[in-house]
Amino acid sequence: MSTDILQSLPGDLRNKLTPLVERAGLPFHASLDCIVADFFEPLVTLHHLGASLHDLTTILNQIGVTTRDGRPITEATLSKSLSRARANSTNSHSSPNGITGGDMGDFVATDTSRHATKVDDLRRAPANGGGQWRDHAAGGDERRFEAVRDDKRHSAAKCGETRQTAALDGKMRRPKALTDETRPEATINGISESAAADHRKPSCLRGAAKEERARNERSKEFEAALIRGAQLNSVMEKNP
Amino acid sequence: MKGDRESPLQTNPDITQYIEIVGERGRIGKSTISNRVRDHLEAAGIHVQVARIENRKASPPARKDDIRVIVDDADQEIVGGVAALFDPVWVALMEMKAARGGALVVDFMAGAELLRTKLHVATSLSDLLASHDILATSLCVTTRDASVMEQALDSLKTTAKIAPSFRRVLAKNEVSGRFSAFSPASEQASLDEQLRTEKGVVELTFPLIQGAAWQLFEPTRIEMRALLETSARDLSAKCSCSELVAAACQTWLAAWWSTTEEELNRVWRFPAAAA
Repeated sequence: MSTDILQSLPGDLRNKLTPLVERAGLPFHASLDCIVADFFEPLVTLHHLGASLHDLTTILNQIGVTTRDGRPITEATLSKSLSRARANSTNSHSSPNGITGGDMGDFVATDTSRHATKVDDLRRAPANGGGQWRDHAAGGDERRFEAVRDDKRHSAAKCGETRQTAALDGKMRRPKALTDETRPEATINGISESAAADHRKPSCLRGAAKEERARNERSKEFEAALIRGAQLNSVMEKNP
Repeated sequence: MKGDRESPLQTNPDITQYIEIVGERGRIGKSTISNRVRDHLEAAGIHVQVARIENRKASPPARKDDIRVIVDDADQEIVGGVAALFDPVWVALMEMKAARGGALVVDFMAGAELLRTKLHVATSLSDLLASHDILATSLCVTTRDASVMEQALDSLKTTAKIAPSFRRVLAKNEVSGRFSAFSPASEQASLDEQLRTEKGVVELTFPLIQGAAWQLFEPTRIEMRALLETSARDLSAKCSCSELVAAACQTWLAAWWSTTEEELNRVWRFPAAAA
C-alpha cells in the first residue's frame, strides 16, 4: 500500500490500520464483509477524519482485499458492506423504537440530518459511529446501548466465514453453529485455507515491497556502471 | 488498432499485463530476455512475477516467487487437459489484477510451441485476457540461424491467428551473430525480409554481450541487476577473477543493459523516456 498511504496517516490511525494491512494475510479472497466487520472501527474513524469512501476503497484495493468472487472493491460494494456490518452489529438487540441496524442507512450517510430524521432517538450519537456510539452517546442513549454485549453481537465476520465453509462442504448450515474451535479448516484441493492464504497473500505483504523499492532505487554502483557502459557504447559506435 | 499495438505502452503499475516469451529452439536467449524484460519493468515501478514453463530437469528458479509449471506430464489426462497445467499462471494473474496490477512474464521452454498453441486454442486465452482488461504481449525470440528465423516467422503468424488481441514483438537476439550481415541472396536475408514485413510486429534487437562477459557471470546465477550493483572488488571474489577483469565485464554488461533498455522502451516505455 499501502505504505505510502499508511505513512501519511496520523500516528494513532496508522496504528489502527497497521493490523489491517498485516491482517491482509487473511485469506486473500476473504469476503469484504469479514474485513469490514473486523476493522469497522478503524475504517469509520478514518472516514470521520475525512477519508472519503473513495479513499477507503482505494486503501482496501491496494492491500489486496477483494469481493468474495475476486473482483476489485468499488465504492458501492464497500458502502453496502459497511451498512451490512453495521446492521449485523446492532441486529442482535431491540433498538429503540424497534429500529434495527439495517435501517441505519448507508455508510455514506455521514449526512447527519438524514440520519436524525430517521432515527430520532439516536440523534445525539455520531451518525456513523458504529461501535463507537457508546463512547459518544449521552444520557439515556448510553444505557440502551450498553445492553449490547460483544458476545451477543452477530458478527459479520463469523457469518461470512461460516457461509464460506458451508459452501465448500456443499451444505448450508446455521452460521452461528460454528466457533473458532469447532470450525473445520476449509481446504481447496487438499491445501488448507491458511496455507493457501499465505500463498495468495499479495507479495507486497510478504516483504517484497521493500525488495521492489530497493530495485527501483538505483545504487551508486549501478549508476556508475551504467555511465561506464554508455561511454563504452559511445566508443564502440565510433570505432566498431 | 494497429497503431496502438506498434506504439510503446506507457508504463503504469496499475495495468495488469500478460507477457509470454516464446521461441521453439533452445539456447537462443529466451530466459535472458525474459529476465531483462522483468528488470526493465521493475525499474519502472511495476510489480513483476515470472512463470517458467519447463520440465523437471530445469534448474531451480532464480527467485523464490517465480512460478514453475512442470510440463513433463502434459500427456496425462487431467481435467481441463494441458491447459489446466497453466492454472497456477492464471490464478497468479488474477491475484495480481485484484491486488495492485503488474506484469506476469511467462517464459516458455524450448519446444513448447505446440503446448502454447493448445493452451491458446483450448482456452481462447486472447479473449479471456481481453475480457479482464489485461494487456497481452507475445515476444518471440529469434537468432540469425535460418531454421530459428523460420520458426519465429511461423510463431508470429500463429500468434496472429490464435491470439488476435496480443501485441506481437520480435526480439532479434544477436547471440550468434548480427542480423545486418546477410548476403542478399541467402535464405536468411529472405526470412529476415519476411520477418521485417510481418504487419503489426514491433522489432527489437538485442546485441551480444561483448567481451565474453556473460561467460564470467552466467555460472554465478546472480541476477544482472545485482551484478551491476556489485563493486568490481566483490565481483572479482564471487567470480574468481581479477578486479580488472571483473570491472571490464561489468562495463560490457552495463553497455548491453543500456542498449537493451532503449530497445525495450520501444515496447514498454519508461516514464523518463516518455517525457
